[in-house]
Amino acid sequence: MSWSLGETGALALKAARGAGMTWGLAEEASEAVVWLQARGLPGVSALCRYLSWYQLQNSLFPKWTGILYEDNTIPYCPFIIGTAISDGAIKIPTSVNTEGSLGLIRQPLLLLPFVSTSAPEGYGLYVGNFFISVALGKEKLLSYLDFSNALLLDEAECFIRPVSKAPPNFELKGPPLRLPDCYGGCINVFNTFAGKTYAPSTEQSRSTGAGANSIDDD
Amino acid sequence: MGTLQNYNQDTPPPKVNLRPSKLVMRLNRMGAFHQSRLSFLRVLLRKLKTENWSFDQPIWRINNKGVGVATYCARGPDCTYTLIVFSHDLKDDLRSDRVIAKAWDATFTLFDGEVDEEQIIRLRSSVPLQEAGRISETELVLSRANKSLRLFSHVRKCLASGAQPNRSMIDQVGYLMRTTAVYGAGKFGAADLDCWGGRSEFLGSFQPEMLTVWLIRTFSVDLVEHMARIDSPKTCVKLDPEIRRKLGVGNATGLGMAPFLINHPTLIHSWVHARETALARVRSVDLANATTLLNFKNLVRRAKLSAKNWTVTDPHQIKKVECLRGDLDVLLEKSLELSGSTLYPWNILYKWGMAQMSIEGQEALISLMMEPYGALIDDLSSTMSADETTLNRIDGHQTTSALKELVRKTYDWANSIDFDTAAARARIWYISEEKLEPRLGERFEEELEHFEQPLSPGYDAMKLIHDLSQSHKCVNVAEFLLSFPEHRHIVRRVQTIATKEYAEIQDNTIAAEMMPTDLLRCKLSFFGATKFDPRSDRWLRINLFQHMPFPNELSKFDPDDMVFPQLID
Repeated sequence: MSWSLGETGALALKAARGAGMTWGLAEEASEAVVWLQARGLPGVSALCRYLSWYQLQNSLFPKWTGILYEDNTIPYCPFIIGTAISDGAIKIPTSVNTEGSLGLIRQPLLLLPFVSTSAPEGYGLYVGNFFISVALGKEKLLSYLDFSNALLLDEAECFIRPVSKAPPNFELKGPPLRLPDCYGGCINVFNTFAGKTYAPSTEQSRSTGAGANSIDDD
Repeated sequence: MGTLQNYNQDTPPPKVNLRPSKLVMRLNRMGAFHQSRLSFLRVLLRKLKTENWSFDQPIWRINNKGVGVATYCARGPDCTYTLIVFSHDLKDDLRSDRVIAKAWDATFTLFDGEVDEEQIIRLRSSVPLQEAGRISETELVLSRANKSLRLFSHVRKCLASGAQPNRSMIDQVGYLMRTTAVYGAGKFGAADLDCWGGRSEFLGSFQPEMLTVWLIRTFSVDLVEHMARIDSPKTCVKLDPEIRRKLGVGNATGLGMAPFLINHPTLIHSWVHARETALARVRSVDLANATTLLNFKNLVRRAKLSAKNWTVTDPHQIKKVECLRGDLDVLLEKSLELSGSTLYPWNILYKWGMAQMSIEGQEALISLMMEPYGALIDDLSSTMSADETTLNRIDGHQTTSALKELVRKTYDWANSIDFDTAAARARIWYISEEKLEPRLGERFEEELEHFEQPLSPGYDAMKLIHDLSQSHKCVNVAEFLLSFPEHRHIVRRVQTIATKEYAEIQDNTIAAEMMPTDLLRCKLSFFGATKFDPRSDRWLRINLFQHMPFPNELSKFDPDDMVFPQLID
């Protein structure tokens, strides 16, 4: 069994909404997951881990008010920080001598699409001390280091820094356009969260569905 | 009513602008749209004919109960596609068009390439399950259909006895089978649009789905002829080709399709913009020669015949069809006033129609006027798609005052709606747990607000305006969204559609009087549907491909001359 990216994105949207995100933020989460999967990165796994945690912890999140609290012990939501970056509320450093700290971020891989589409050429996202990506310009991800524990770290301090040179041996292969069977567990988790957006059926809802109480044979 | 020349008050050449969205994007008008040259099924058939596609039926293993498998191949210059049919023996009491059905008379998938036994075995275990099964990246479309019991039985019986079926019954029903869902674009495991969207045969919208339905039509006739042969091999006859062409494919469509127009504003803009551009081009034609005018008059006569055969039971639609019949009568009279020397004849006719015809008639006139001008407008079909695979990034640098101005301008129509009244917010869109389909509830009668889908952009825009007015400290959109994250989706929408005139339905989609069938009809008219037959305010039946050639006739006939029934001498 496999899943198309289109249906995965649609399900991720519903799952993010079911976990409690606003519709607009859920759209961003869906987009980020598809962006990552299309580049061979485990966006579905990252969102799957994140949603379970988000549902329990989101009331404790530090509110992003325009000022980062770098000494927070509770991590920021990657989508709140990511959209603040893409909206321009968090400024990306533009001087080669500066770096931008993004604070402690939950599931930092989920930040990558926002940084990659916003950061200027030659900058990379660092998760802790791991170098994760080089953004070469709009929508272009050049390479990443395949430290699996870096890609799916639960939380880490994140930075945007200039990159002196691209890491070797990280040529991206053609984008995989589907999710293989091994993602079945994550899809189940998505379905559970998505289920929270569905209204339980009642006699009234059944009787007002299209075609209810009408003869449909001819 | 006066003569047509009364409507020729422009100094030639007339300045023909596209019709404004405040006229076009109203639900009562969208619910009166008709098929046209730009409709997707017509685009498909033109393409297949131009490229000399060939068709064959490699497998027919249907038994004497009508159960088994069949395949239909469509072979083009670069690609081959195969419709795989699983035909079932469905008990009458299980036959239902509703999405809650679990079994159908036939189930289908469109396979990318030629199919082998291994693939058929794989698909036999999933396609008949429809939503409960899974297809893969080699499949483009998943669909199912039920028989029209009344007509299928009649045709089968007649053919078995060596007779042709009753023509008026054929006209009345119009199809042997009706699809109840046609899923594509990655749904239920099918190939993503990215995998095939760039192929020349699928440029535009919904082309694999249209190909699937067209081939299903052929299967429906093959099946009835097969069953007649089983019943009486010695006396049976085949359907007369002329009667056969009167059979399209029915389709029963409900609320599941309704939110599509709201959820895809960029795509809808591309569809309507193409249609409006086509209209403007035709209105700008300075002279029409005698042959074109004669063809148009004949076309109006044929449209009258089609309207005569359009039978409905819904009281609202009955009135609309009656108006259309009257409008077409007068249109024929008026079109006789046009001559080869009439300057800007179509602009005059259009202006007359807008003043004198019902909305149903006006939209029919627009489609009819496009018919003679394929060379002028058919190229627009390639613009009827949109890349919606990536989100539009929000421009956080936009000032809040600029955003407020943009919302006011884009949603001025919503400003006149008093959303504080219960009637203006009476309805609520939600997804049902039972079948994961959109439904429309009553906001003040059911506990549904927690489950509300964002399908009321007008109301959302007015809430955005309210909060923008309260947020004096926020200089730009990025700052505003930090304080009001709940507006993120509508801010994105406002910015996305700012330059897209026809992206938004300019009506309240949660109002008590809103008719979901208007949404359905608009979308289905772009598919090329005819014979809209509302069965309630939230589902309808239609016909696709009626009068069109079958695959084995495509080389002989011009599909663009076959939408309307031929005149009988």
